[in-house]
Amino acid sequence: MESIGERLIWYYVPFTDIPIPLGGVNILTVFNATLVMVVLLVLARLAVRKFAMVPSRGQLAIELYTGIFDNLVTSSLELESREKNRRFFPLIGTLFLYLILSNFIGFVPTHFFEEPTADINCTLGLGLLGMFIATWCAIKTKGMGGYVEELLGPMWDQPDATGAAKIAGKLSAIFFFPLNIIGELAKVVSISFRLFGNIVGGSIIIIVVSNLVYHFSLLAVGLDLFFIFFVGTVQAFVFTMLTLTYIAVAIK
Amino acid sequence: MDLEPHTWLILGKLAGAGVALGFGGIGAAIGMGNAAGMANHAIMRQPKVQREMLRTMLIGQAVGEGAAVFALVIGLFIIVVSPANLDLIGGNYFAALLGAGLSIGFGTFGSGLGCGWPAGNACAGFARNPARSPKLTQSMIIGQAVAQSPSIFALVVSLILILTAKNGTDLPTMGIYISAGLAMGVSALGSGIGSGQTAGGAVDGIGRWPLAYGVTLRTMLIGQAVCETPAIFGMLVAFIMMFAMGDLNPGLLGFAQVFGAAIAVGFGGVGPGIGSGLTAAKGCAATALRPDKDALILRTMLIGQAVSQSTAIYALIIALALLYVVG
Repeated sequence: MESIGERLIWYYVPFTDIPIPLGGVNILTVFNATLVMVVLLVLARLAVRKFAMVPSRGQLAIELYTGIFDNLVTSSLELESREKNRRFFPLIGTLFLYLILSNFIGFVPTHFFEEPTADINCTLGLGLLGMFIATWCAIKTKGMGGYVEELLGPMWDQPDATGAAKIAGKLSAIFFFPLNIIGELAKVVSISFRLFGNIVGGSIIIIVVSNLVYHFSLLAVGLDLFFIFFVGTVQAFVFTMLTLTYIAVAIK
Repeated sequence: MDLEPHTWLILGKLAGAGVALGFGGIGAAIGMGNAAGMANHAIMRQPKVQREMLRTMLIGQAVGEGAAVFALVIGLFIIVVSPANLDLIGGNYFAALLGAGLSIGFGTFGSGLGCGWPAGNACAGFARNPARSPKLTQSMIIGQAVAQSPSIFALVVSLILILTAKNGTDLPTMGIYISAGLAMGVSALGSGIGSGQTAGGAVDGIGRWPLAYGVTLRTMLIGQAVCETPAIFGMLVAFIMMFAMGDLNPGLLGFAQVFGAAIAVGFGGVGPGIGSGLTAAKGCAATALRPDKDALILRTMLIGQAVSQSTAIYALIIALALLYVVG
């Protein structure tokens, strides 16, 4: 019970003495994240191997999933055409599948199979990715000027104000601009630490409880099921939906 | 402060277990009383289904009591824990046990209080429409389970505090342990109440219009996730204090530095948690009544919650400044 989770950190590029910046790379996270991607690719390939009018089980599952998430994306973004909404579907649909499989991988009762989402670097990367896409979409729809104007606060652009009121409105940007920038950064922190904290918290509780009750392991198994399947699914869904909603807020 | 090791241990057990159960019990008791009161009101409206309603109420209360059970588990753990080197323990161990008690005590306060609303509203919805009870019970249990994640964060922090406490006595380390518990616990208070209110609003809405089950549950999950942001900031500061602090100022100055940060991020998070809960509860109820406008309601809800959250962000910035800039 000394250590929680496995760590295998490379501090240097292999076979050289070039240091890796930012304190090394946890190879297990990279390995498990890659494993999840490979499993997803194989499953996707198997599911769409042969499409038929009367769908097979795999095709049915994929069609159901696609339908549900297509509907979710369309109803959240509410863009004018279905094609424009669909441009975000691959991102959102893949993000959910990736996260849910990442959270479930801890159920494999062997060493070296750790949830990649239990590493803050993984969730922070995904959070930064979502925020980058949201910002990029905002700049694309509103233009650079419109985006910056939004950051400058609600009092910046007052067409009917004159004199002192107008100057005061412009001065209020000194207050609003840093706050909005910090708010954007806090979104990244909260979305990534939410997923990380829930997954890590679950594994810490499972380890401690299994150590305390090892004569009565059914409790630990029940906790395992709750934290991995219930919390894992809910948090994967929340992360995906928050990313989608940030994009939706950004392009409105 | 030269006390015997045994005295420090007993002091820690008294303070930690007392704080854990004392504060942890309050929230669950109020919440469950609230649920029972709403169930009474619902039985008055629909006496024919009293047996089923009693069952719904008891399920809701049992799940809601989970928060108090966390506090009980940690309290018992503090009482029975026996460190390996009994001769070496000092003030740090006392501080760790007190911090664990503060974390779980305040952390389960909010969740226990919040879990009363979904249970009570499930009974009210049951009285309105007895045929829809499975949907109501499902949404109630999901809402309560998610509303307990702040108290799960608090549970994790208190377990880490108990299991990784250092030997010896020095004021900055004592400050770190007490402050980590305080930051986590108090910031989870508002989040627990807020996410409970959100679940209550969602169950209320589903009770009125059960066909909007899926879309209301989605709004509820997002609303609860945003309500839990202050608790996440508290957990972040607690983790930074426990694992990523450099050398603190020696003596009272170091103690004050971390304690101030804990007060900032802890109490700064109470208001945003409750406030975003109020927003999200109304948002969920509105989504259930107008499921066709769910995207508009969700967007408005998130923008409103973001403004309410901004004070938690200021508190986080002040806490980080206290930890790294001052001193």
